[in-house]
Amino acid sequence: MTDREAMASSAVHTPYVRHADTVRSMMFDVLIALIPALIWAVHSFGARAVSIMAVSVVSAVLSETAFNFFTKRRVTVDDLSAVVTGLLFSFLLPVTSPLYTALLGPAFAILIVKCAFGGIGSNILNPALTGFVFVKLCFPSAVTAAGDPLAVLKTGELPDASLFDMLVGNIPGGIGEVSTLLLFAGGAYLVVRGVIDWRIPTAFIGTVAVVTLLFPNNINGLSFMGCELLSGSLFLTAIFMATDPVTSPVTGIGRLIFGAVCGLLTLLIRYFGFDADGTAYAILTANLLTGLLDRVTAPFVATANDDAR
Amino acid sequence: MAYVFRGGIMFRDDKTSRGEGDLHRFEPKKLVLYAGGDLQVDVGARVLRGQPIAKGVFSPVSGTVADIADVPGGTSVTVESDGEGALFPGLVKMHKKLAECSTEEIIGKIRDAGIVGMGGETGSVADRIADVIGKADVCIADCAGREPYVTCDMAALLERPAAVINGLKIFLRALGVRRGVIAVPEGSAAAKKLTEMTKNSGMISVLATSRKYPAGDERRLVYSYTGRELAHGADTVSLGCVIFNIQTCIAVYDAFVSGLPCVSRVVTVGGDCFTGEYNVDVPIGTSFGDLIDAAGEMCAEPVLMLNGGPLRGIPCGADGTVGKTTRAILLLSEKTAGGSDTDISPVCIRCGRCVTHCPERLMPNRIYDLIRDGKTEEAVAAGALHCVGCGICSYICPGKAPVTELIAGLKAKNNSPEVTDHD
Repeated sequence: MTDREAMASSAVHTPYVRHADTVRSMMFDVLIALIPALIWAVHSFGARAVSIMAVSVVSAVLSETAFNFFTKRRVTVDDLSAVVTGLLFSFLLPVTSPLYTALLGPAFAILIVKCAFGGIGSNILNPALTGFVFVKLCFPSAVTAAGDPLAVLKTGELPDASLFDMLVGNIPGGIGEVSTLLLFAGGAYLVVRGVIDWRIPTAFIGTVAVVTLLFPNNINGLSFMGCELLSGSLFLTAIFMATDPVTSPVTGIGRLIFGAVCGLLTLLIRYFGFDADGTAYAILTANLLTGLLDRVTAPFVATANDDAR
Repeated sequence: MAYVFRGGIMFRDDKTSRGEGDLHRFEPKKLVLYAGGDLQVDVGARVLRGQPIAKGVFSPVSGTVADIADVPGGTSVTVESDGEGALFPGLVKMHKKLAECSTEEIIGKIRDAGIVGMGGETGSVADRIADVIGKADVCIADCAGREPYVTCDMAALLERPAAVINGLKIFLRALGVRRGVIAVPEGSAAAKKLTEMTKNSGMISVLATSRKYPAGDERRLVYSYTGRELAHGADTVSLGCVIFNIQTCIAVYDAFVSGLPCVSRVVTVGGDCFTGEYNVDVPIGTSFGDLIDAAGEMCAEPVLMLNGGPLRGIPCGADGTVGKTTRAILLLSEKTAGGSDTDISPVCIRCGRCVTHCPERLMPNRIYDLIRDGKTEEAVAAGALHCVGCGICSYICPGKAPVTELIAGLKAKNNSPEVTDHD
C-alpha cells in the first residue's frame, strides 16, 4: 500500500448526498393532512371558522418573525412549522371563541413555548397545546364549546348525538377536532409518508379504547367507548400533537409507552379531573417524560466487550 | 436466506443501479503507477504487461516508461502504452492442481501477485490469510454492497462468475476451510445465476443478503451469515468469518491460472451526471480524467467528483488515478450533491429517523447534541465510537444536521479504528 492509498483510506468518510425530505417538506405534509378537516370546519362552521384559523396562523407567523427580527436571528418561518402550530391551535377552538383568543394563544405558543426555549427542535412542550391550555386557563368559558358531548358524558349520561354524527363531525367542539374520520384520513397519509410514527396515535387511542371498554362508568360499554373515542379532541391531538417529533420520544418502544401514558393520563382527567377532555394536559405531561423515555429505551447498551480495545 | 440486520436504508433499486449492464473495457494511452521505492526500471525502458516495476507494482500494459518522478511518499512511474498488451514472459502460473497445493504455496502466489483487498480494505491478502488460518470456519466472497451508484463488484461478478467461484475455492484451500459463501443481494440476477452454478457444489453456496445499505459492511455481513453481532472493534474471524471482496477472488484466480499479477480492476463511473450505469475494466494507473472521458456524454453539469460512493467516498480531482482499491468515480450534479450545503441552517427536530435507521443501534441525534454541547465523554458513553460511519444519519436527516460529520470528527480525535466497508 502506498502512502497515497493510506491517505485515502484514513480520510474522514462523510456522506455527500442528502434525502429529499426537509423540515419544510414534512411540515407541508402535515398541512396537506389537515386540509380535509379544514374543509369540514369551513363547511360546518362557516366564515367564522375561517377567521379563527386565519388569525391564529397570522399570529403564529408574525410572532416568530418578530422574535427572530428583534433577537437578530435568521427568520425561520419558511420551515412552515409556525403555520402548522397556528393552524393546529385554531383547530382546538370552538367557533364561538373570541378572536383575541386566536391571537393570544399562538403568540404565547411561539414566543414563550418555542422561541424562548431556542426555537424549533429545542422546545420541551408542544407549542400549540400549551397555547391552548394558556387561553383555556385565562378564558375558560370563552374557549369551551356549548353542548360538548364529553361534558355530557362526564355527568353520567349519554350525549344526544349519534356515534355516526361523532364520526363525521356533526357535533359541537373545536372547529377542526370534530371530524374524526377526516382526521384519521390525514393521519393515515402522514404514516404512509413517513412523517409520523403509527406507534404514538395507536398506543394513545388504543389505551383509551381498552380502558373505556373495561370501565364504562355505568353506561353501556360500547356506546361509552364510542363517545370517548369519537368526540372531543382525542383524534386531533393523538395524531397531530402527540406525534410532534420535537416533544415525543425517538425510539419505537419509547413511543409506544409515550402513547399509552398519554391515553392513561387523558382517562385519569376524564374520569376524575376537572376537565371534560383532558388530552391537552395529558400530552403536555407526557412531553415532560420524553427525555426519560429516550434514556431508558435507548437501543444501544454498552457491553463489557467495549473495553476490549 | 440471510439474517436481516437492524436499521439500514433501502436506496433506489432499478435497472440502472444493479450492475447488470454491459461490462466495458478501456485502456488509456498513458497511465501513472505509484511505487514505494526500489524501482526496477528506468526512463525509456520497455515494459510488458505484468512485468514488475517495483515491489508489489506491475505494469498493466506493454509500452515504454515515459517518466519517473518523486511524489510525496514514493515515486510515480508514467507508462505509455503501445496498445499491444504483450505479456511479460516471466509470469508463472500454478502448475499443480489446487488439491495438491500447500497453504504456503498459495499464500506465496498471492503475495507475489501483489494482491490487496479490492473492496477498500487495502491490506495485503496474503498477510490476512496467514493471520486467520485455523481460526475461520467460513470464507465469504462479498458482493453485497448497496451504496448507490457503486455497482463495480456486481458487474465483475456477472462477467466472471466462474472465476469468483474458483477464486473462492483457492481461498478455502489456503485457509483449510470447508465452507465458502458468496454474498449477493437477494433478488439480483447474480443471486439467481450463482445459485444455479453452485447447486451441486458441496462447499460453495449463495448467501442472499438484504438489499438495504450498508449490507456490504463487514459487521452487517457477519450478522447476515451468523445472525450474531460482532463485538465492537472485534475481527470478523472472532465469529469464524473471513471476508474477501469479489474482485479479490477474481484477482487471486487470475494469479493462480495465468500468473498475471493484480494489474486491472472493475471501476464504476457513475453518478447522476450520467444517465445509466457504466462499469469498466481498466488497468491500474488510469487517470480519472481519461476514465470519465471514456464513459461518454454527461447529462448534467457536475459540481462534485467523488472517489468512492456518495456516502463513504471522498472528493477527488480528475488527475487522480485508479488504484487497486478504487471502486467508483462519481460525478454528482447540483441537484444531488447540493443538498449537503444548502442554506438551511442545520437543526435537529428529533424526528428519530436516524435512530430508526442506525445499523449500530445508536441514537445519533443524542450523540449529535452531546458533541455540540462539548460533552465528548458523554458522547463516547452513548456509543459514539461504535459509529461505523455509514452516513445514513446525515443522509436521512430532514434538518440536514451534519451528524456523521461531527461523530467522525470525534472518532478522529479518539483514534478510533475505521471499520472496513467491503462495498
